[in-house]
Amino acid sequence: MSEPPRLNSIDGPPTGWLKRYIYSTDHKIIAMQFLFVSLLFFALGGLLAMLIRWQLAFPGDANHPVPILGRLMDWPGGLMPPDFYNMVFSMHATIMVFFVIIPLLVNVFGNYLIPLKIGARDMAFEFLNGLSFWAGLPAGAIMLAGFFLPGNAASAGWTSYPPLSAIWQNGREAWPLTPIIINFIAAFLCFGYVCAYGVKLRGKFVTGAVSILLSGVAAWGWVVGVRAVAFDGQSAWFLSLLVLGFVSLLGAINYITTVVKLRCPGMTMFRMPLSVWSLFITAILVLLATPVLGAAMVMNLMDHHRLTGFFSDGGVPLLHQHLFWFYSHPAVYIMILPAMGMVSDILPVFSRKPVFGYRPMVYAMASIAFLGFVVWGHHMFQSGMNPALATTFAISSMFIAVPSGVKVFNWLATMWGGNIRFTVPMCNAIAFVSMFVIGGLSGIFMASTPVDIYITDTYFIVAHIHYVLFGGSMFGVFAAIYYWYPKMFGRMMNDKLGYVHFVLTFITFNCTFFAMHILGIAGFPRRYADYTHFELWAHFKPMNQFISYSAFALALSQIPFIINFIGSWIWGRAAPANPWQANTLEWTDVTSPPPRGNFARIPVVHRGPYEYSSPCVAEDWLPQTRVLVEPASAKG
Amino acid sequence: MVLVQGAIVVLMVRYRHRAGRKARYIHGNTRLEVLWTIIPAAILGVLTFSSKQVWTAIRYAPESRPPTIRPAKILVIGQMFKWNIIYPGADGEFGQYLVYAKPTDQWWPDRKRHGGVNGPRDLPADQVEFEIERYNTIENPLGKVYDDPRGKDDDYEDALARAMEVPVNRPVDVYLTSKDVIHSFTLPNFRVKLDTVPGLMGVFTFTPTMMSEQLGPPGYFEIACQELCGQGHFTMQGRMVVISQEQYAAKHEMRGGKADP
Repeated sequence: MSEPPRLNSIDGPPTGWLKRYIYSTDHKIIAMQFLFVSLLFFALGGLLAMLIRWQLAFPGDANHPVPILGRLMDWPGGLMPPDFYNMVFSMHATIMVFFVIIPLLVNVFGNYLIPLKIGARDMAFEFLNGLSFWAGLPAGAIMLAGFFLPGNAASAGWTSYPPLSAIWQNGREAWPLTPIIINFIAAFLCFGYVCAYGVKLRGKFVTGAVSILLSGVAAWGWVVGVRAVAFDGQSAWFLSLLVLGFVSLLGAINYITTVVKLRCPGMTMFRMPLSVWSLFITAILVLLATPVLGAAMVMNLMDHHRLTGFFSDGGVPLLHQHLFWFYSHPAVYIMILPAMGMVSDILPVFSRKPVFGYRPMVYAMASIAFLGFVVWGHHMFQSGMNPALATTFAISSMFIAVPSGVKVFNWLATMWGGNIRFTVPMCNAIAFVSMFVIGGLSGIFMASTPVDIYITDTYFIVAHIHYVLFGGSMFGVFAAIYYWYPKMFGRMMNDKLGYVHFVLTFITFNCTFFAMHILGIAGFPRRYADYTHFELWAHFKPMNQFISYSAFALALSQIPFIINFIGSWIWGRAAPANPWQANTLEWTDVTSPPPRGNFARIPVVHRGPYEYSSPCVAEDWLPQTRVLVEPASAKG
Repeated sequence: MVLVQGAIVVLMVRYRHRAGRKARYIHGNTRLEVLWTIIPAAILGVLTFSSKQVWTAIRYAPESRPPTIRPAKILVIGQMFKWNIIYPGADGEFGQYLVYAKPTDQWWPDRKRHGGVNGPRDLPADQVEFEIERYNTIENPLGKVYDDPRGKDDDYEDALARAMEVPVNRPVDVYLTSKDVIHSFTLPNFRVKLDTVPGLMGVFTFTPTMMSEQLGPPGYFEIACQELCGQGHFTMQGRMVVISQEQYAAKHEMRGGKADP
């Protein structure tokens, strides 16, 4: 009756706990591995943010030494040195962008949702998919190694503009033991994965002992190589992003192939849920933009080793900025499009109403992605590039607001006339729309070149990116976690804790970041360890303290989430297959959590994903796979 | 923005869940989609073109203003962690700066170029590099090219970290470059800012309309660096004083002959 599930293209059905849970090629396990690691990095990035806020609330204030770390690092008076402060904000941004938001959106939900939502048993390239996680570990380890190197981790901002980033933070000293151990373990795990699936001797897979030996030797070679290349925090930063770029590419190739080739019967492109569309478009962005970042990182590394002079030593510093933003501006959309897509899935489910303007939503995302490649110069209006170029980029940047606006109006129209259920994921999704509007509109100020002259490099920018990335992407991620958690872990999350987390986060988030707009309008500069010697800004100390207290409260507001996340896994009520009465395949056709291979039988899709409150049926939902006896009058 | 937030709240209240009610079954409306594409596009188009005019006035002033208006010109060289201010003197033109003797220059290429200071060719080899470093950092920290005729009357000797003086009610062209890393020359009170990039010369224009004296204490405007330039980034504070046109002409435009009329 049912065809045998194709479990694993490489080694047949998995045997042993190692290949089932650790070195798994199952897209769901890989997604969860990414989820755990990203959330750990989220905690680290959040703690770094607390250090930033402590410094700005009490700059040079001997009565408020930095707690714990001040004593641990043996700073004079417990006060943070300015170069350490530079390191803290550089690493906060780097970790949040490259190790939290991008993996959370692209890798976690890309992995989890794409096969389930298009009716596939797994990704197109399962081994490659696992590799994208295990090869990501060494990238993270190199980045973390920076913290242990003499002369601090990278301190030139998350943009690492040369010539500042070309300055050596310390000589070519030997690495301390801690980063060596971290890097060895990460590389050992990565090579272990390769051995488990990729290395054959005389036509047979190598045994455990040989694997361990091989991985050990390879990892040792890797660590020696990494030490030679990354001798200080900044070179570690470059190398880490280079490795991470490869990892992103592995994922992107996989997502594109899966969406194009593995859709189940009846799942036409325009019957795909918008989250799959957004992840598909994001994967194309990653595929086209990341190689440029890789090239920039290689050039920077060679400059750093004094082998070349692309950017410094008589080179052209602006070239780095062009290359970096050619990647990092599309990366902004990499960090928001999947959140938009997932919110577009969640809003109709809880409004019990079809998404308003499905095709315009797709076209809007596609045009955002296209325009995303021609607006990078708006990060460089004041960089000294040709002022004529600035006008060009101003026009394209202004017009990227149009498709974003279309999406916002469509979300509102989706809610209009709905029958809204205010579940925790829905609250987070509405918060996403609301915060994204603020973040998006403040972006228009920056696209206007003369306004940008004043507000660039002020706290207005900080406010803007946090409204987009935290208020936008992170609320999107929270919505998605609350929404798909029952599917992922087979348990319901606690609603009360969820509401507490949402309300506290929403309030403290706005207290923290809205005030930054006001600082920005006053020209308050970013990246200043101390501002009290400026007549212009000294009197903003109380306001900074307010922001800092709000930020501490924001950090504490995540505690209910942590309790909920871990606690529900242990004590949560078992989740039914479709707790939200949603239409899409991951809810209607598989259990919670889905088994390996996902579908007992590959489903056949008859209609679009958003047929809520259809007049054809009595209930207010109509699954994509349900066969109606009478021909449905609904289009879709 | 307020409208959208208001709309969200209204929709949330109006269409909250009620038992037994079914939501409307609507897939979209092409006319509405077109409407909310074209209206924002039109608004943004207007914004773009009004922005462009202001931008041109700030960044293209030296090329586009009538030749009868003579701007005050000032060269600012960013350096970790101070602002160096150079005035062009009577001819209104700057000489060449930031050209340094290289560690291999045992002979200066020619004596005149380096202000009559002898190259360290007579010194033992191990002292040469030190001597060149000393020359570059102490004797000629701005890397001035002494044989450039345009630079003869430049006011550069006290350039290091001095206060910048500009005339009131007269356009000021600020030329910007950097000695080491990227800085950003910012006058928060005047809403102007531009990065100083090593190897590039940027220029912007502004016109102060009020003298510092009229401002009252502290009697100067602050200059800040707003592009991360290292651990002393936040200490890169400068001062700008707006003085009368007569004072400015007497102090900064008489050197090396009479100011051009």
